[in-house]
Amino acid sequence: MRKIPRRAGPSQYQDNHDSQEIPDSKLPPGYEDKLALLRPYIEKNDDLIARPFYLDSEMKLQACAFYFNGIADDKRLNEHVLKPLMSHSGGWDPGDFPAADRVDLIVRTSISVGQLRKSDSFAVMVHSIFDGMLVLIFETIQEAVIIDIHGGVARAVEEPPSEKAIRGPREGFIENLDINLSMIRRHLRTPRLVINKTTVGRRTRTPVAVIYIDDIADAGLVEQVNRRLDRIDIDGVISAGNIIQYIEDKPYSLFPQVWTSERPDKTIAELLEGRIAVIVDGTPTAIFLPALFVEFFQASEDYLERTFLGSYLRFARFIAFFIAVSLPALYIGAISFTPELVPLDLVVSIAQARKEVPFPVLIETLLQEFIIQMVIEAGLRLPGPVGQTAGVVSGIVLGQAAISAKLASPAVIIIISITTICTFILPSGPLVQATRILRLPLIFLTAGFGLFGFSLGWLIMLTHLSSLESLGLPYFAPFAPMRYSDLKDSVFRIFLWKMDKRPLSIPSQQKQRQGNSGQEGNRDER
Amino acid sequence: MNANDTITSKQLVFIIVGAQIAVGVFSLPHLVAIEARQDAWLAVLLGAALPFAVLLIIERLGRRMPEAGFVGMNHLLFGRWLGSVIVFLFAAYVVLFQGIVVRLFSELTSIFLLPCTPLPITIFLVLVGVVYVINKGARVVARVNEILFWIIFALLLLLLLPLVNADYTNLLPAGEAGLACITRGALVSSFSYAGVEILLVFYFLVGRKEEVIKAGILGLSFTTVVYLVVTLVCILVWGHELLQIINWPALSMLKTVKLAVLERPEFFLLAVWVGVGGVPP
Repeated sequence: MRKIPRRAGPSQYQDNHDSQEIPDSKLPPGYEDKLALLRPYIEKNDDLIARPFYLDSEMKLQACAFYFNGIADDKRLNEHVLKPLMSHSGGWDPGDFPAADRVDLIVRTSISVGQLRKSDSFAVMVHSIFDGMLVLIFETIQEAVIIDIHGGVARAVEEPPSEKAIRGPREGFIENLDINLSMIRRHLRTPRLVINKTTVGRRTRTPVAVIYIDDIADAGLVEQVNRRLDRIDIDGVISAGNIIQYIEDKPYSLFPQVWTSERPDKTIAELLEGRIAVIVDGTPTAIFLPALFVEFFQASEDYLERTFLGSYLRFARFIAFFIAVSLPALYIGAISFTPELVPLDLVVSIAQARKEVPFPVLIETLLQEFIIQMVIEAGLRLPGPVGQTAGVVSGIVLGQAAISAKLASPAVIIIISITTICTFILPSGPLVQATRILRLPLIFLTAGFGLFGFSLGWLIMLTHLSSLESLGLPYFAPFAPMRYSDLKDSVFRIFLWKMDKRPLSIPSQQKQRQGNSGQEGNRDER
Repeated sequence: MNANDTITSKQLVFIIVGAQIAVGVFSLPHLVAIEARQDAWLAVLLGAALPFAVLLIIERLGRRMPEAGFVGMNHLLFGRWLGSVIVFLFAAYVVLFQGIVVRLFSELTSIFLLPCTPLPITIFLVLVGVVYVINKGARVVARVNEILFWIIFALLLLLLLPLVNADYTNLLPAGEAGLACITRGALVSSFSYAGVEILLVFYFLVGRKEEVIKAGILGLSFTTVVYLVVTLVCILVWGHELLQIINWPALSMLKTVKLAVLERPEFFLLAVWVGVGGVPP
């Protein structure tokens, strides 16, 4: 029997790719030589267009344009590249000039497109073609000219469905990286905003942008993010979700260690706090590092609403998280271990309702919990209105039927419904997903050991939270280690003019963030 | 020593509080009242003198060799062989002492919360929690103690509830027990103050050594206040005759209170106390 290697080492991976490696040689000056070099890479692709043309009126200088149909923007290609080149718009023949100057002359006189560069490397040229650039090669000129005229269709900028805001901007990221970056630039106009682009994924060669504000973000953190991105050596990046799993600190944890958002306004707020954003091409999501546990409770409206409402909602979310994680467990613990804890009348009414239910509380609760999770999943996949209907119908009908069939007591339906509602109050998707799993261990611990097991579960959870790190910084930060000044923006959100420092939990170069600290109301003198 | 394992002096406060306040606080008023009767609170106050002395000695010792580490310090003081023996003895003492705490706590849990679960299983569960926390290193222990500190604080407020049944004449006549009895009570109470000796180990983990003394005094003072308040409330509510009979007066007195939603607050208290009692450094 052939032995299958348990782990593919880096060397084996390298071997697989050798056929893919493109020799990094210099381009020859001859036109036919270049075509011959290029042929093995392009001959099997029918959607690649190679368009030959002449550069001079005597038809001596051959040239060829390579581009992919549907990726290059036809209008710009024809009007700003091919047309001026073929009509000798400069009124001169490149053949009249020495070969070394020709390429610059062509670029400066006959190509009216902004994004353009030259390269004499064969590998760069091939990659540029497959990155969707327009590549021009010329007779007698060594360098290839690489022009970015990406076109094609992009989705319109819409409000992100998963992060709707009642107040505030309605813009959301889309799949196109350049448009996403432009949305950030447009609203954050400091010259200190830095955007670095790299590619990740050997075959997908996905552009990934690292964004930070130069004089706020901690240089060490930026370097760390870059290092983690460089270390990713995978075949393909399908979505930002892949990248997240490769750059987070503790993949074994249930808690999300990376903040994500689909909103440019949120992205700008995060950048201003000294965080680093990573945007992956093809995903309408920005990733923020480092992440803190409290951030998953902060919605962008919190800062736009008046302080008291914002604080109230923030506090309500923390309560909701507690309920979402522990209510089913508390129900089990109170009913099957310590009914003395609950007021007598309530115990009696619950017991009466439970009288005819044939299962133990644990099974009853787990059954309902499982059904609700299935309903949620079913609603997700179905198209819009159908999904909602399915959710409502299955929720009400199943709930009612389960009660009348004595499969569940009304109490457990109420408990599970409250839990589910509280789960979806949380403003951040990753934490919602975590919460759905987090309650299960607590349910089992409590079913086994009552309130003692419940406390033990929370102790372990708090310990785990305290031990988590994001980019090497404590994840549970304003709570443990306690950072008193950061508590201004945790369980409550106090007045904006009192938050005059950037969060201490995230190292930044500039601590002060506003000049009108302590400005309490406006009283203009007349 | 790992550079990642340094803690701040603020965290030292929480660690000292966390090390001292454990399961002992529930029985402390009972044990001290046996010796010092209605003057138990004076005894508890007097008992704080011993840990304060220990704190000062350790701080002096640590200041002489701030970088040595606990093992290194013993080697310096007693030589290689004897030093190692003393380190071993200290470790054995900590294990023994925390073993007692875990045992006491498990028994309390057994009696109040899990009457049907065999004791070894309860002990095992407590140990699971303890080992999990300690496994994460000094920093995490410090952070967890920080959270627990605030939980202790909140629970203390719960312990003030029975004051509605207080009778101040229970404290009178003050000082009647006599100095001898009060001193004996103070010695009994010093068992509850034990835990400050972990400073021997944690001193070397603190980043800024000059703040250790302040942090230590702060932590010890907090513990003293907690013990004093609990003892006072117990005397005020029960009176010293009853106090000498009831095993866990601090818990039992919560039975006298009835809240709107929580029928039996003592269960709640004990359940939340899992963290407090279960995390010795």
